[in-house]
Amino acid sequence: MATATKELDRLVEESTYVFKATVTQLNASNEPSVRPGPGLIVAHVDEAFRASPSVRASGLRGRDVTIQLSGGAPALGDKLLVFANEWLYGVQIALREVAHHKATAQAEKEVEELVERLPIRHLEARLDGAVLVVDGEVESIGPSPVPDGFSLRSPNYQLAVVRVVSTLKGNRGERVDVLFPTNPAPPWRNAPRLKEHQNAVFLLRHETALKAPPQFFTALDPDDVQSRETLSKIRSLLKP
Amino acid sequence: MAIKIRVVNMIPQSQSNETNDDSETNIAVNPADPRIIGATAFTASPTAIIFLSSDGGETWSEAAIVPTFTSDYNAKFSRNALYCGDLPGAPLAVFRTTDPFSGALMVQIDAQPNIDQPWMAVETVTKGPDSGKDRVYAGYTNWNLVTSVATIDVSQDGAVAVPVFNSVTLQNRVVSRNAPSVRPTIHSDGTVYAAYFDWRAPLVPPTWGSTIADVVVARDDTWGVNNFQDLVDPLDAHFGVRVATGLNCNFNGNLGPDRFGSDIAAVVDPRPKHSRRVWVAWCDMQGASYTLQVRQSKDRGKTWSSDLLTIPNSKNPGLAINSEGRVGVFYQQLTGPVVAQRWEHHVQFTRNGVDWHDVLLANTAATNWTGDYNFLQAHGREFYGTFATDNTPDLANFPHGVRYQRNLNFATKQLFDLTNTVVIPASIDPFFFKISWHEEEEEGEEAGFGFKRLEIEGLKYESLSIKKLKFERFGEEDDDDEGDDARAISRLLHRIADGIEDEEETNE
Repeated sequence: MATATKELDRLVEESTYVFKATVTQLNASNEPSVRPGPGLIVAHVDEAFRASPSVRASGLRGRDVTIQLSGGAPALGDKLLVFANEWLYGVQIALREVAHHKATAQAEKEVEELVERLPIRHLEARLDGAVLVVDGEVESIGPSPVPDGFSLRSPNYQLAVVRVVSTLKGNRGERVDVLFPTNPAPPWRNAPRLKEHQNAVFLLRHETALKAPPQFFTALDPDDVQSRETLSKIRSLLKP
Repeated sequence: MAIKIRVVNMIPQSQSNETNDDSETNIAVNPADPRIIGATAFTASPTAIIFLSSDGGETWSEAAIVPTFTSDYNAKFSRNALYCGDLPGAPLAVFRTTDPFSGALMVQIDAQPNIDQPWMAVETVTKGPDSGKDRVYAGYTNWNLVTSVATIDVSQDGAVAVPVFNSVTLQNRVVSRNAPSVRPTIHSDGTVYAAYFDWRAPLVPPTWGSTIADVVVARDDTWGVNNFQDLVDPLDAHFGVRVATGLNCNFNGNLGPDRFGSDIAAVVDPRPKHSRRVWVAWCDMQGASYTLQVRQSKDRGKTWSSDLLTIPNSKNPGLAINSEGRVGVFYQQLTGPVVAQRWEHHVQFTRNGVDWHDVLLANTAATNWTGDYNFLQAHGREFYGTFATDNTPDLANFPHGVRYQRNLNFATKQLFDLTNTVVIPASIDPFFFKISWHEEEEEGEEAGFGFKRLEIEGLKYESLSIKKLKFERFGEEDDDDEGDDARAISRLLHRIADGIEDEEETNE
């Protein structure tokens, strides 16, 4: 990967917002909750490559947004590739810039490709960190044998016994014990809830929150439970 | 009884796409300027956000100014700053900003490695040599050394660059542990109360379940300097009076889609010379019902009333007292058959603990988890609060009306995305409310009078009942002064009542 591409790659990773925009106002804000001043610009989003799930690229495209600059001030009319994170959502959107580059056709193309690859890269990272990847079926659900912390931030695990159909990574027997959280609060709320007779590919790590014995695994990221249709893709992503 | 009620969905227009469960809300009204309000909720974001309003709650934005993610957080305003107690995983992190609208990230001022449920209470000293200093209290249960100990980190000067915090352990009886909720409440004269649960019996793994619990109220008469040891239980000589004992607290039980088990609130009467009056509300199992109970002490927590209010199938209590001594009790109650359960979000008001006025803010489908706590705050005559509930834009769900910022169609009862074309499914949203009591709306008061004499019968105030009062006008009559006469009578009555109480306190 060329140095310039590596830099774009880093910026895409660090930024929940990536878009091409035209500077329309300097030292200004279009969001009533943000006081206009130095270091702020308003820009029109010409093309959106990445946005937070609560906005999405379709909701960003065509908007005017307020940007808190991180570095050098652009000029009115400049076309920028902006890498930013969320700052304030009101009637309008205000963002904290990580960096901006001059928009070029080449840079746009590279950014578009990098953003498109983000989901695959996330899945690759989950696969790299998994100690066990199995294709299997949830045979039963029951209480967790691992003592819970009895705090409001405890995972409140339940135990899923997964019958292994095939092992893609690691080495286990015919069945695997998977603990999955039921606590509705963060950080557990988005973790997959397993169901009896669920068929899936499970990307498993050793349990750490309660320091459970090593035979207990977890699948806490939404990407850790994949439908069986992705089996061939997962095989291709697994590194030998 | 005419009161003004405003309910606002807090999700900003630019977040119209969102379908997150924005549960477990809390509110912070700036005492120096009540148009400035902060709030928290579990709103999906890489880092925790603070909801902000600069117009008294009519419009809201979400500001990503908390530097970390959260597993549990809430914030409170002093006159100097906004303080946020955050739980990024297991540690406590207390953050502070003097200008939440600036965009600058909050700065960390306190830390503990392993805690549960941070709860902030702050007050700026307004009299004496420490005038201007921020007293900061971060309540939590401490998991650092042993299991779940009720603790408050206290700073006598939280506004300085590097505040010093002193960790005060509340637990001082032989108990199994403390429930997660610790609730400090501050009076401007330096009295600070803290309510918490002692759990006397262990919870047996792997099943969470019932335990025997006591409700305890501790007190410190000097801003926390005395380590909350100024109130001694006469029956066992331990610090903190047991308001109720032998309760059945079912930790992690279920009430509709919600869990419960550590529901408690406390508030001290904020009026000058009224710090002896403190209220506490909690929930425990009464038979098969998780039930809210409310009690009051008029003698600095030494003795307590019996239950003044009980509400079955309820959780998330909040308490506040306004500048007139009116008490608000905030809670959510599960109603309806199992297949169509609903959350009713209520505030009940009283001045005497006997007569209650119920305000139903919302009645919505109980669809998903709404969180482990709520909060009610008073500023002047007004009551402010937030709650999390199903966001279906159905005006029938909001008896006093509702304002949304996000895209919707009330006629079709649908939410729409940012482009206003795609239907967005319902989810849990945070709602703000403000309840304004008008000066002329006093209990036991007639609408006004246009005669030279007025008689009022059946007036009640606290434990006093007045059979008949006669008022006589002096001075010139004015055709437009009927309301003024009524207000004058109301003020006169309250001054008499307050005078009686002040006299009692002087004699204590």
